[in-house]
Amino acid sequence: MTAILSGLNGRGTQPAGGTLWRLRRNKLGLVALSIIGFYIVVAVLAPIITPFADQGRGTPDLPNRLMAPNSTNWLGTDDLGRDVLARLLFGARTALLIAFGVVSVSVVIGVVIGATAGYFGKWVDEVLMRITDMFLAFPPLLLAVIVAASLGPSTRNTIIAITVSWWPWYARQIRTQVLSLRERPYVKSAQALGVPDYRVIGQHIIPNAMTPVWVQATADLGAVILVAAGLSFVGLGTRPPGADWGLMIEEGRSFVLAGQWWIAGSAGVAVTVLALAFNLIGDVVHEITDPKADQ
Amino acid sequence: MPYLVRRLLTSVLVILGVITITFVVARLVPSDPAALYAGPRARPAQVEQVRQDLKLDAPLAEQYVSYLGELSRGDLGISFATRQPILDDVVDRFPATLELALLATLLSMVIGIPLGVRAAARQNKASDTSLRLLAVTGVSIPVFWAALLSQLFFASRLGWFPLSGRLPADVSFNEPTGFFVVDSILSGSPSNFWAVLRHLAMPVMVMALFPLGLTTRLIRSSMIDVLAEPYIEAARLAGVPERTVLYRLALKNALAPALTILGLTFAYSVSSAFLVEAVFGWPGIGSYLTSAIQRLDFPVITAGALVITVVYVVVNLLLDLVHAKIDPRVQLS
Amino acid sequence: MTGTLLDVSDLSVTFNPPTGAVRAVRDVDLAISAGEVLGIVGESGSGKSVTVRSVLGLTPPSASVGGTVTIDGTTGTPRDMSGAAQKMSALVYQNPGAALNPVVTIGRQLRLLSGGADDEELESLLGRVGLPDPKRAMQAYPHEFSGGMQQRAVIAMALSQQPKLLIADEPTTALDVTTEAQILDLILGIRDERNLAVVFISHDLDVIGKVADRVAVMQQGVVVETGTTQQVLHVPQHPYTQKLIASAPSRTPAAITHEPDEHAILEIRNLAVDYRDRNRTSGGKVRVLEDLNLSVVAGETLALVGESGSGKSTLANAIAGLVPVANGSIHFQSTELTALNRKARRATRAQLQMVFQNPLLSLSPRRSIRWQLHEALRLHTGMSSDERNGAIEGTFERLGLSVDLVERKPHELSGGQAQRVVLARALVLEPRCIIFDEPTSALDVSVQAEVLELLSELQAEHGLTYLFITHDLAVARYLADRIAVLRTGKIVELSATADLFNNPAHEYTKSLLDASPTV
Repeated sequence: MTAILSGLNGRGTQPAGGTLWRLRRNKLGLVALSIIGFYIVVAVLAPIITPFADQGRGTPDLPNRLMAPNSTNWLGTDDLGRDVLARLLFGARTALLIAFGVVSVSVVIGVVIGATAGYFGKWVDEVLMRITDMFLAFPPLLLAVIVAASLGPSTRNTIIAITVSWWPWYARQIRTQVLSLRERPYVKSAQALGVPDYRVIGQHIIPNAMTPVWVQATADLGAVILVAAGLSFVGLGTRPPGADWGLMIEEGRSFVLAGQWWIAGSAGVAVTVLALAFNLIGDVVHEITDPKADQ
Repeated sequence: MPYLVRRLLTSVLVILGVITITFVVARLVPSDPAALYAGPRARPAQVEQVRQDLKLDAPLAEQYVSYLGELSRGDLGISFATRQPILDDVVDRFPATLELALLATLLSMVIGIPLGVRAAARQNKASDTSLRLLAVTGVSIPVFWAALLSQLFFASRLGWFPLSGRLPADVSFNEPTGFFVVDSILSGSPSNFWAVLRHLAMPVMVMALFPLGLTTRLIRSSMIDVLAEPYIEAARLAGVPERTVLYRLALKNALAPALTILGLTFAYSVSSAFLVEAVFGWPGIGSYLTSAIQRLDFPVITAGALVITVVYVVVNLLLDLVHAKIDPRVQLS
Repeated sequence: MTGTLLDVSDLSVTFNPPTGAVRAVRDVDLAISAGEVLGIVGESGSGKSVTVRSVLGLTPPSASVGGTVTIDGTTGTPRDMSGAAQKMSALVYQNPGAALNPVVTIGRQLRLLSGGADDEELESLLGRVGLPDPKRAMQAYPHEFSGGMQQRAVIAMALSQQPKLLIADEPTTALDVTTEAQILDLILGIRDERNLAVVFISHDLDVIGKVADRVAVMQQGVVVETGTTQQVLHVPQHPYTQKLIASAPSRTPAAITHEPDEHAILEIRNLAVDYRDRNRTSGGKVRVLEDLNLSVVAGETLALVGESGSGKSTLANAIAGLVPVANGSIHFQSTELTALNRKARRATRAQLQMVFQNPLLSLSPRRSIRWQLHEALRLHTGMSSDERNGAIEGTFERLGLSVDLVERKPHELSGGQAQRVVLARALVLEPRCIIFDEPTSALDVSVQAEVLELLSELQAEHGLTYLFITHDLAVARYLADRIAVLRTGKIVELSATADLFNNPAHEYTKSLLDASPTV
């Protein structure tokens, strides 16, 4: 998905030493970074922040069903009487776990496959890339849907399912990077010096190929959160009583038209704001690491 | 090898790969497909019977070969839930999804390309920043939530559009093509056409949201790259009017990526169909898939995914051929 | 002044990136009249291009531009005058490939840029710049042309705007010497026909000497010397100009002669190398080197000269074992390299070193210099860490490098320092033979001269053998005992340096010598 965004512009490998420093000078980036920081803190501290930690984990409180937002339940309660805010806080844990889990595993797989294909070329490249292409041939979401359907719904399986459809993007990207890096004089110098292939790849190529991948990975965190929400919305993700925003939207869906908007409404806002923050960060990081922007 | 032949061959290979992946994934199912098929109250002997009938006890390779054979005859298998041939259902429902996806793609390109060009032309000015924020928001809203919101506001509160469905219960006409926009025009009744449009409006807009943001962002970034090229500078120095520079000299270079997006946009529309259709009760492939997911109807899930993917591969093939026509550097000999 | 077309005085340009203001150009005064070629010469970063671009209003809006510009009797700030400057001038770029829109035909681009000239006019223009079939060229896309043809098309495009001033920014740097000579002739011819004023920007004194009537020498944003080309090149006043001219290799006396051993240290027999070409519709291989024989005698410098595409870098890669050999063999100190397995071959690599083009890119960007030298030593010697540090320090001292540099990363080095570090990495392993692939072509001339001098000293000291691959005849003449001329994968001539320059035997060698500006 957004992988293509920088895939199209995939270039440049100058050291990204000043990235963080430059990020701090960008207002939009700063706002986005603060939002993400806020979500992470809130997710980690969820049990401490809310007095309804048990309800956040899923324990029903049937007498208080479908209460509108009030001074006790700031965002109201759901159809099982659980505090919506507490559910949101615990949902942040699920969302961030899935996002970081999918992206980090995908990057590792992508780096291994992509670097091998790009460095060795010839039939190794041919075979690995044809396999990658087959995974990429599925429209986004769809492969994740059938894998999730096969494995059965759970948070862990959601991570596996999305990863299966996600790694090929990184493999492609890394391969393109490696293809151009392996012609660089410093790589040829290392080869001419007799440095073994695994060291050439590991020490000289991959460290210099990663900048655009990190940019991509940052932007992808937002996309993964959306996909995960979609999966749990159709019942392929986190199962009740687990806390998950997509699931909350699904659970709250039937009450929306009846006027009880707060369950689906607040969960939707939670997803959108976090995805927006990740996408913005991805945009900003992409911009400041783009060597063309320096001129 | 001529480009056309090479491209066709790779597409065939990819489709074969897609079939293989879906086959493997479908066999990953931890629960016993025979037990699922036989139903929850079946006795072990019945389950065993089903297993033999469906040849589920055969070696995996043999199952794979017979799966390929069935597919080549157009046999997509039988639904666990309805016991109907899946192919009939797919043929029945596909036009509804395609109509939705094509219109959403069209809408997002028609709006997204000019927006992207405009944002790139005013890089880092206020109008660019607000366009970018809008585009980022477009790709950050969960599509099913946007669908719910639009139902709440535009259908329930404002009453502008019908809540769900493809047609009101009291309207019907002949469906020679399955595309209701076309069929309603053929029926000769403006009120039919109007009813079709009203039902299409919300799903199309919601479906177009993500691709619209994507298109705007991609066109913007590829236009910015192109606008920094010396040949654009040379044209501006020569006093070529800015409109001509943007739309006749630069956009054509930025369009190669735009074709990639066209493919992506379509892919998004098709694959977000199962979320959008589920909310709007749209009788397409997407809602077929969603209900199959809820019933764990695996043959339908894999067949549905396969059909959508094959359509996607074919669309990409066509786009690549168009690309080769637009860009002289791609050899089409 | 009468006849002055453009007068620039007190021009200064300051860039304002977030990291702090940078003054790129200071107090520049330039004037040019119709029919005159003004050469602006300087090393990279001297402010040559910025000067011209700021007059045309092409500097980013955040940059501050000061001074005055006078055009046709009207004087104003550079920003105010940029419209008038743009109107009367046209630009020819360094990289013709980027100056042409890849998806629009040449004809359509010409029509748009000329503002509505008719096709007949444009076709005759294409003919004038030397495109063989103008009718066909109108229909063609840029990628169908070679670099030289593309540059001709760019010149035609510039002329179609009826400019009074042609600004050529390193227009021949991306081209071969033969093509370069033709393009220079073309520009001069057009100047005469149209009484054009030409600003010619180049880092290459030889090229400037050939085209310019007057020269301005720039260093660090300042014009240090102006005058007629005769004056500046033959009686340079400013020390920097003197240094520039002195370091141009062609003007230094021929190299020290060596007394080579009798036997070859490196021998190449019947070598053939193929390249797989993905873009070809045939999907097949292209033979880059064909039946190549060459032997390098111990202690000598053999220069291998050829234009781009001749296969000279492929030969370097083949000797280094970076590309597969299709046929033939390579022998080093009587070992057949091409028959060795990876491990046995690795053992030979300390003795046979490679130095590639562009020293800054030859060092791994994220590693300290120390790390990279240790890697080389760890691979080929059994030294302890302390011994390795000692060896590195010794080599650094010998090369006149401060030992503190070992803690730096490559991007913290200057071009000259990087070149020495790359040499240090090779020398620390005490090789017998070093293969250089265009080692100085990315360096500014003054640095290049120092490096070449250092190379010949090192050779004398350590009895090294050099195989020196270059496109630059002047460099070859300075350094080499013998020169081999490579053309489309074959050696067409091989003789002692003096013989080659005095009595070139092969036609191609003659044309190379003719095209090369001042050798």
